[in-house]
Amino acid sequence: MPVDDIKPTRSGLLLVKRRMALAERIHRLLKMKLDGMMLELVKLTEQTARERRMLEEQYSRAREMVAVAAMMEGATGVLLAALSVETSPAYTAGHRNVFGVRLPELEPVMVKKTLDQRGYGILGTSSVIDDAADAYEDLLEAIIASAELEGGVKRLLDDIERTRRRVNALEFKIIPDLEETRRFIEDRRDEMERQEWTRLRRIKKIKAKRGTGL
Amino acid sequence: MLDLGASGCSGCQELNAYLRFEIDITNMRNLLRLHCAEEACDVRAIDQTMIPGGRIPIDLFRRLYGIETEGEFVSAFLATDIAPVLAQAVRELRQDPNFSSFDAAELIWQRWHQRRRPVHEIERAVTRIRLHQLESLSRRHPFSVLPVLAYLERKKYEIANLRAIARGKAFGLPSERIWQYIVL
Repeated sequence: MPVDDIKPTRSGLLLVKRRMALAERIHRLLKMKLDGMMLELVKLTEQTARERRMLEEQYSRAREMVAVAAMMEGATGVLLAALSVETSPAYTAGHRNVFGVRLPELEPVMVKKTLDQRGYGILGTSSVIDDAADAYEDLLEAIIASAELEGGVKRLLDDIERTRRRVNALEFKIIPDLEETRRFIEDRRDEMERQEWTRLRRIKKIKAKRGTGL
Repeated sequence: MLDLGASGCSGCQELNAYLRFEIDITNMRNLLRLHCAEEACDVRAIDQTMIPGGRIPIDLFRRLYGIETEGEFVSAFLATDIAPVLAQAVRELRQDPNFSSFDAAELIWQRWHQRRRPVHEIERAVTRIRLHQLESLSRRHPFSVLPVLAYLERKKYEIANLRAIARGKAFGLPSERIWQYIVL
């Protein structure tokens, strides 16, 4: 609040004091929220790194299993088995609330299938196709889990940045400005009080002089 | 083809027995495949996938599919004629002369219980035993269809091996990995 807009009156001082109390309370709450979000971020980041490592392992395993399936059944055999899958895997998107931040929650749907749900004939294929299908289903689940966690980390980071900006604005701009305004009003009110006192004293002196003159 | 046994041709009885044995092995392999998903398949899938005509009745496979206790499973598995073949395959694979049919049944139970597929090396070892059986049958009946079948089966696996080696090398798989899938 610019100093010029404030009237150095008692009501102005009360207004500034009220605003300052509110700003300090918000600052304290936002700082607590920031600390909580930082703790949640550390936890989530560790989990995300773990999931990511697992995803990479699943990916190399899936690549190896599909190579083995292609080795045994031929690329055409693998392609035919893949094309016979009728139900595409999907996911449902929800959210959970962490310190007011909406973190994504993804639930795999029809990712893990039984042999009869996969659609390819059991008699025309061998277990290497099952191994490859299993490995890719595991990979897909790992991708969904990893996407959920990484999305959560990104949203949490965005919100931490925003909250940090608010905390910094309160700490380094709004509260010091209000403090300065309060000091200004108090100084002006002190000054006015002193002026008034001096004026009254002067009047009293003049009155006393006139009284003795009569 | 199973009706050939009644025709009285040379070696047809043995061929019939061999075919029934092959059907049993295929059915057992498919049963294990059906069971190993996280969620169990519908029991109707068994009727659709089991090949009739084997020595083991399909009812036994259906019963095996529902068993969840070790003792029951092992005794039901030992009642089939796959247990001694599996034991022989593992004996040859692991060079362990003390591996019995009971051990084989327990090995299968472990995989069954954990809903895991049979190890590929064991599958290959069983195929090897099967080919040996066919080979010995063809020697006993040299003027039947068995030598031709034995030759064709061996040729099939020979070509499959060569294909696997070529494709495996093309996909950059390590030799040890390719070796697991070779039938010698």
